[in-house]
Amino acid sequence: MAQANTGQGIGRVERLLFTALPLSALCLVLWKLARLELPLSASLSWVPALGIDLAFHIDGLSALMLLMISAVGTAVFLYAGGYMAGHSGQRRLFVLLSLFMLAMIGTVTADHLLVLFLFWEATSVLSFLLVGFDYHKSGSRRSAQQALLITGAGGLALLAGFLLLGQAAGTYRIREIIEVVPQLEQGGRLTAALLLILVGAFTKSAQFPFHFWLPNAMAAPTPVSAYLHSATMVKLGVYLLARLDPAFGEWPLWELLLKGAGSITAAWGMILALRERDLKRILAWSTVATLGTLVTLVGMRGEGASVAVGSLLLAHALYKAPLFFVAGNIDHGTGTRVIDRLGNLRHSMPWTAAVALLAGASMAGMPLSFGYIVKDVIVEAKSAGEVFAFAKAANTIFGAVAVAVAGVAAVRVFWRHPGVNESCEAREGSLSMILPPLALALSGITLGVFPFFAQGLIAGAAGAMVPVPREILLGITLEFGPTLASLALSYAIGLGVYISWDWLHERFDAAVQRIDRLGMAAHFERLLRGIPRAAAASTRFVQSGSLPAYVALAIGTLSLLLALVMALGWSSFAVPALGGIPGPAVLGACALIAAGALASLFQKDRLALLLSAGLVGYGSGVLFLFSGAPDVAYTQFTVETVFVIVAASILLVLRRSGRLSSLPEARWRPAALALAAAFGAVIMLLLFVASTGPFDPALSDYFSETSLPQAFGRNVVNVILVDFRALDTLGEITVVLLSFLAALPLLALRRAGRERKAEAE
Amino acid sequence: MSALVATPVLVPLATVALTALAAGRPRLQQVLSGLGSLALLLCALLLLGQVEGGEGARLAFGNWPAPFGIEFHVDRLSAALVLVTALMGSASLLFLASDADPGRRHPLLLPLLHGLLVGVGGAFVTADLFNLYVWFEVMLICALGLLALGARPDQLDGAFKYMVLNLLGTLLLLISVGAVYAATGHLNFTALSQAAPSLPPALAAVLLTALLLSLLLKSGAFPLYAWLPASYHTLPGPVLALCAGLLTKVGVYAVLRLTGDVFAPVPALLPEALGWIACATMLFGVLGAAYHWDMRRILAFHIVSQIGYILLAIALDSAAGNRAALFYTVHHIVVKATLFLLAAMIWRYTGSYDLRRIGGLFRARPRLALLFMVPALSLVGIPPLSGFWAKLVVLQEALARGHYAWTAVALLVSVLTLYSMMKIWMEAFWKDHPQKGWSLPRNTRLAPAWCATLSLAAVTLWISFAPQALLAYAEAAALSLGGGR
Repeated sequence: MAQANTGQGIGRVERLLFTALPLSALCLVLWKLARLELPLSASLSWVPALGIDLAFHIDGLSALMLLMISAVGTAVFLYAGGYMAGHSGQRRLFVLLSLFMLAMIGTVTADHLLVLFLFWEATSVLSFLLVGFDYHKSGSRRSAQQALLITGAGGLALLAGFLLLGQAAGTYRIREIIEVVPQLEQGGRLTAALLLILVGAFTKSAQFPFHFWLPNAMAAPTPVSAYLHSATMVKLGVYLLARLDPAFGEWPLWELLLKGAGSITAAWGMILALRERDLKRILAWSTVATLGTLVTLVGMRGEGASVAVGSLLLAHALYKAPLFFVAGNIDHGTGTRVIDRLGNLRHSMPWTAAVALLAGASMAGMPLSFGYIVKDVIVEAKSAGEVFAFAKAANTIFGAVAVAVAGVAAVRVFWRHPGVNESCEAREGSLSMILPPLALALSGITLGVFPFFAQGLIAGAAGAMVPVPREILLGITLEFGPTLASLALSYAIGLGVYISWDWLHERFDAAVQRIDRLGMAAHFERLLRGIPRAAAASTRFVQSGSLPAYVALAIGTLSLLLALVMALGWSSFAVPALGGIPGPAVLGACALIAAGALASLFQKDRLALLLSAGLVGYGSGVLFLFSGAPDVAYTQFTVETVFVIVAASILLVLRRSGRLSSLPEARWRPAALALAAAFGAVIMLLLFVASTGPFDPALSDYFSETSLPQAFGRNVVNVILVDFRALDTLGEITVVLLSFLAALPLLALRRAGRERKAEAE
Repeated sequence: MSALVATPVLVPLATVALTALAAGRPRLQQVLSGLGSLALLLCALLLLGQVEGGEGARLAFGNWPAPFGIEFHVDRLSAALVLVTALMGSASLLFLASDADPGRRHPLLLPLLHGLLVGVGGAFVTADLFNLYVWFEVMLICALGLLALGARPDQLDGAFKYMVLNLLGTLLLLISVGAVYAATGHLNFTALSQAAPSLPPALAAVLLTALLLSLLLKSGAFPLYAWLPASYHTLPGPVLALCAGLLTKVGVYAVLRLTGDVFAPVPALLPEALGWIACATMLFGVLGAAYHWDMRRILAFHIVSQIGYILLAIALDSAAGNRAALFYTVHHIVVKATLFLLAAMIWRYTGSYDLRRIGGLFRARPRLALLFMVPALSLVGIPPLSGFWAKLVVLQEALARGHYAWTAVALLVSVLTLYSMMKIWMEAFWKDHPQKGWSLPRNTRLAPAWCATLSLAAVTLWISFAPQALLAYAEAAALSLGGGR
């Protein structure tokens, strides 16, 4: 039955068991952090032939990522239990999410480039399966395809980059690489490695120009979006860049590309957020922008930037995941996520409204939230490091629109009523849909008030990029002062953007629409459509379906390449001097062969054709006879005679029964003639050239010497056929017998056809 | 025991004779065929055990000593390929017992299939150039018979194209063998490898070019592969799996044997040219796959593209490259046969090979979807599946030798392979069946098919998670070749 596996979701116990996975991971990470047991290392030999060990290393950066993976994972698993309650694919979702979590853990702890790559690709494939979770919708399938094609292509670039890097450094161990690479010369190979790795990281983290797949991935169910496409997987690119920062941090190219791409992504992502009306897509674009900021920060030098990376990673996980849950709750409760159709939801969804406020405050960077601390750190980092003007402008846009987006998600849909709220029966979801986002949002606020809780964690993470001195650590404290003043500007612009959101939306939508067809998404679509087109063109060229074309292509290629190779070495062949004019017997034999071959071209009668072909055979026999090989000649005459007699008698029988049609008139095709002549000439030259080789007569001497005394045969050719090389003969007999077997069904087919015809008459 | 060396030919040959004699009694014929394939598998395992340790096993027919008579020589390379051949034979024959696209039940089907194994086995173990040609002929005639067996007009059309183009290759092979003999006076591989250094380089290049071109036609390399997509899709599923898995690989094996062993080291011009041919093969093959909607045609074009990868490995012209080629070949034979068999199962469930006319399998048969992912992702090269290791060793060596353009093409082709596998996945599994109210057919007899595909997938998974065994084996095999010494 088709509905066999579409039951009623899964039971409470099974759900709890699944949820226990991330929870136990979370407890383990917290325990290790609390006991200060980092860094941890483990290694297991796997493929010694390629020098691949399952090597893992958990330092501060890995621990921060692990904490996010397990904490947000626990929330997502809990949330999915409520959000997907009763859904037939719930078990599939949990299995895929669990596998995904394992892959994430593997990626952020691997200490071997290829092991890291292994898990990295696993996250891509699982993301494909999760984005296409609602596989019966063609939109989901397309988004899944887009996500995997882009991250998959990026993954292959990454692999090439890793291989180049590993070969240049002489090791694939990440900890060794970051020590070796700064001492290497910045040559072409290493630059190529750097660029390829950047392509991999940028595709994964949706950086310009590969940014467009992420919002489309929102076709996935909300728990998936919150987990993969906001909190964890898309941060892998940033993680990898941070991980390799000590290796490449001093390269101007690294700094330029990271700051450039990151800034463009941060600004452009926020502008594109203004275009959207779907709450989830708005959040997705702001995620893209945040990733851009993170990449910019990784590209910046100095300890401050490293601290900023760590804190923004953490803060973003703590506010963006709850906001996605908020979007999911609204979708779940009202059936829509379009902000025009939503308003005043605080009455029907008070808890969700509270979560939205808390998380929104952190996203906007309001004082007393962890987001504020992060903004503070970023401002300090930027004032410390020299940053080019564009990055500063991009950051301002990013900060301001973040305020506005937070306003839309937290204030507009809950507290105001700009649009008609179509669904009046909006209702709050179950407890499992409120507690997880509330817990995450509350921890965001808690860390904002007591930032020293996060201090050790962030210092550890930053330490993976640069050694962090103490005074920076003290920077992560709650302080109001010059920072607040500089942030006030971004609050003010953000407020303005928020108030004029609809007005700006129209303007930007109209403006961006005009350049849409120049955008990367459009290019990708064109590329995707181009694949079948290029495929069709190339395939029709090579695989036209016409046998004469195939034969012409094959013969043409063979002749051309053979001629080319012979021409290249022509001067070095020891061409033997022609030993005068050969005797009349040889000349006569050649004439016989040529006459037979030419005559066969113009025969329409099959019997005459057979006889002309027979002339070629006899001519060869004569040639052998006068070239010192009478035994070969004898065999040739026998074979030729038997063949002609047998074939001719069959043809005669057929003619007598009136079933022998004559051949069609040969058409005059000069191109075919030229090709055939060229091929013939090339083969002739090939044999001629071959005869210049240092022929070793050992074999023929041995055969003529041992033929009689050991094999008891006077005719050497016969002895070769039935004794020296009897196996060849066995093989040829097999061929004959098998060809008989192969022909039987065809003969039966003809007979059946004739009988049918007879019956019809 | 050196008689074992002849078993890759003798066992299937005996099976051909017995099954042909039992053509009137289908049950007896099936039993004989099953026993024959099991015996071949057993012999292949024994053979592998015998060569694992040392130099390999030799057998001189009629006791005529080496350069004079015909010799079989099984080294690690041959033994591995013989084992895979036996495995594929058993899996395809097992699959034939199901009702997934079995084709026309003709009494001569089984004899011809075993005849194919005779040719393949002979080509893998022979150490004589002319004898190699004979086994190619055996393969050709059996493949033709299998193609023509169904006697549908499209099958006869495919068979005719197959015959004309392959005869061209066979003819050139025969001429080249003759030319090699004329130039050196030898046919035995060992004797040829001793005679090769005294050949003038230009002459060696010409002779090898002629040999390689005929073998490349047999392998399905660009632009000589037209016969493959023109005929393969007309074969019934299990037969197609066997042909697809083995036939082209014999050509590739011969290329590897001649360039990497017998005539090694070859003039530098040849590997360079082979590399570019390999790139074109990969690219045009995968584009052909992207163009088509019939799963058999898609997969047939993927054979071409994967052949390109193996040729690329050979073109790297080093021990590491040869290791990669052997690893890739073994991985590819298993994975490609599994994919064709799974396509036949999809046909049984949904009623068509055309992706536009099928769908709904993910909901209806989730386990089949899961099973399909193993060979599909492996073909793409997603880690840690066998295809990843295969591509990894090729790419590693290509980069180490500084062939950046070839590497770039190989990576691009991987992306397109991903595209093409995703197409099958999305259309056959994810998409709803276009026919409203479609449901799975009743009374399917697919247990043997599941058995066969699951075992092959298990082999793939074994290579995937414990690649060390095959890698170490392939390395030892490559080092014992002439090029490795």
